[in-house]
Amino acid sequence: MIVRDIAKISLSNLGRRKVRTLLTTSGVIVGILTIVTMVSLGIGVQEQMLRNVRALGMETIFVQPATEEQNVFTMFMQLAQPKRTRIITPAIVAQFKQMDGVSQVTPEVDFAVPMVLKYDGQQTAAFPGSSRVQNPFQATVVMVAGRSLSTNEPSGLVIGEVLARELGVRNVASMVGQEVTVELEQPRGDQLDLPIKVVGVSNGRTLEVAFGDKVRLKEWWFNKQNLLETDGYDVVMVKASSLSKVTPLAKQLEDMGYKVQTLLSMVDLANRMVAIMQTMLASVGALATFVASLGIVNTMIMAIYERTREIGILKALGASRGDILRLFMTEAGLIGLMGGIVGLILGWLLGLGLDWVAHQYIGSQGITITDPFFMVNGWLIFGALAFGTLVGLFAGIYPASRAARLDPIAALRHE
Amino acid sequence: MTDEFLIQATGLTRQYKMGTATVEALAGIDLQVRAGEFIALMGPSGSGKSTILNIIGGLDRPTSGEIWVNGTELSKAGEKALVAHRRNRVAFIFQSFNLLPRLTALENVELPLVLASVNPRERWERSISALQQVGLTERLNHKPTELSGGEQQRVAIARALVANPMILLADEPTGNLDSARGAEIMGVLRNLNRNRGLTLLVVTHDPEVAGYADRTIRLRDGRILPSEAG
Repeated sequence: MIVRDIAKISLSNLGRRKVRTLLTTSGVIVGILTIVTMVSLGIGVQEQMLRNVRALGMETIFVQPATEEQNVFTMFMQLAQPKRTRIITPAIVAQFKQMDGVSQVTPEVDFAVPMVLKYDGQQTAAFPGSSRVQNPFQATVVMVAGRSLSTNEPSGLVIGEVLARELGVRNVASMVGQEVTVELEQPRGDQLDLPIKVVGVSNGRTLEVAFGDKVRLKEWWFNKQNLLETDGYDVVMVKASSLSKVTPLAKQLEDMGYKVQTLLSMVDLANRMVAIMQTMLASVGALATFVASLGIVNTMIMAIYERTREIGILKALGASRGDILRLFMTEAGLIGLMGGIVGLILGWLLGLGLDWVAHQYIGSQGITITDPFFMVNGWLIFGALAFGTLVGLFAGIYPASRAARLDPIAALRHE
Repeated sequence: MTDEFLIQATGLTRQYKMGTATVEALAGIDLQVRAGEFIALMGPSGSGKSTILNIIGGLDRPTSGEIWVNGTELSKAGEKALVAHRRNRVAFIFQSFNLLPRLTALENVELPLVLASVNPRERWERSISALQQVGLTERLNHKPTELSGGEQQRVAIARALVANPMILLADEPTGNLDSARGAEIMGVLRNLNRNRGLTLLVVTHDPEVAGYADRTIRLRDGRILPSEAG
């Protein structure tokens, strides 16, 4: 038989039992839809991370203080940070600057504690961030008024325009130069009010506090003097003068006893995490597709039972076992392929829908991300269609070979 | 075997297992058929008439014995050879016509050529010509259910002819038709035998149908009865 005839006969057989074909296909559709949605999420997230990491520059090396090794016991006993065994003091930072191949050193202190902003009798809650160490999903901060903070600035803050409005300010630019009171409250009840001058207003909802102020707030929070000398910086970004200097510099810093991460290793780690996430989520879809394949097996066995006499007639007219096998395999494969096509389209649409919802939500939180979270690429399209077809073919093996082996005389007697 | 006979069977037996019992459909048959003969096979139900047709048609294999058709020993032939045999040398006509209900008359006739990978244009021409030979020039795009019994059997005969076989195997071809339609069909078959030299083996209960044949072979309990005069 020629391919065109096989395809034509298979399609007409499927079209003959439309409802059954539709129901059988729907199982595959659900499976492929799940896989496409999940994998496209993985692709989108990966793309965004890579783009942001590239924007930071691949020359950057992140140096963190070395900590005590953690085991299960210490992890539960010290819910806070593990004890630092090698800290990065300002003196060490100065040392980093002298190293060969270093073009820039930016030390940073983490202080992510919820705070209350007070201004002109109004108040709102905020969470300080940093525009220098970027969250991979965070878009670049754009200044609306005033200026941004520079490295190591002793005092000042940049307030997001959403926060400014929450403080009752209509003309956000008018805040530049004014003092905002930052209030911290310890769980034990102590309270600190620190007035800080606004140097700029940014878009979104971010709050950025100058380095000096951050250290002051942190020292009060942990009740420590000279925090930079006792605990050191939390992270130091060392920028190599060229890409070729990254690996030797990282090695040198590691030998000095610090925890070192380059963007190369971070990209690698992120890729691995995305791959794990993708695999887990896609497994759900694969499982659904497997269940769907049982539906295909069932439908095909039914079809063969109903068409036993027809198979007998075809054999009497000169059909070989291979012809019968190909006919039924093609039918099963077509169910899989149709499921793949519809599942791909619906999964794609679902991704676009979820993407829209996600961006609406993120936008309402004052963060601007324009890049999509769900991305479908050529490999995903090809993979979804191929997987659907393979599942159909796989499900067709047993029923089709049963049909091919039917005894023609018994088949012709079948009512 | 000799080249004298188109079909030559010696010591042909066929046993079926029905649960624990063994049914002997053929109990040692010797048969010779010359090319162009028109033979009627008669006998009561279960006498083995249909089994002989199925074995000659390559749908069934004997339990023992030899069966040569046009130089091929079918009991030892492989699957490929049997498929070629069914495609090129023999064709079946059934009591219940066995047309595919979803296909039109023309598409049913084309089916053997579809299976044989003949290109669409050629199979259309050959099918039309086969339908003309059985006297069907209208209603070619009707489904079998829209045709009369006689018309359906004509379509089935056209389907049998379309691949130019040497042997036509007919199992009670008039069993589902009234006597007038039955006579028409037998007329068509006899013409094919006379004009095209088609070898015909017709299984029947009906002595009138057997009357069209050159020779009648009577069977009982899987054996051929000694022939009467003529």
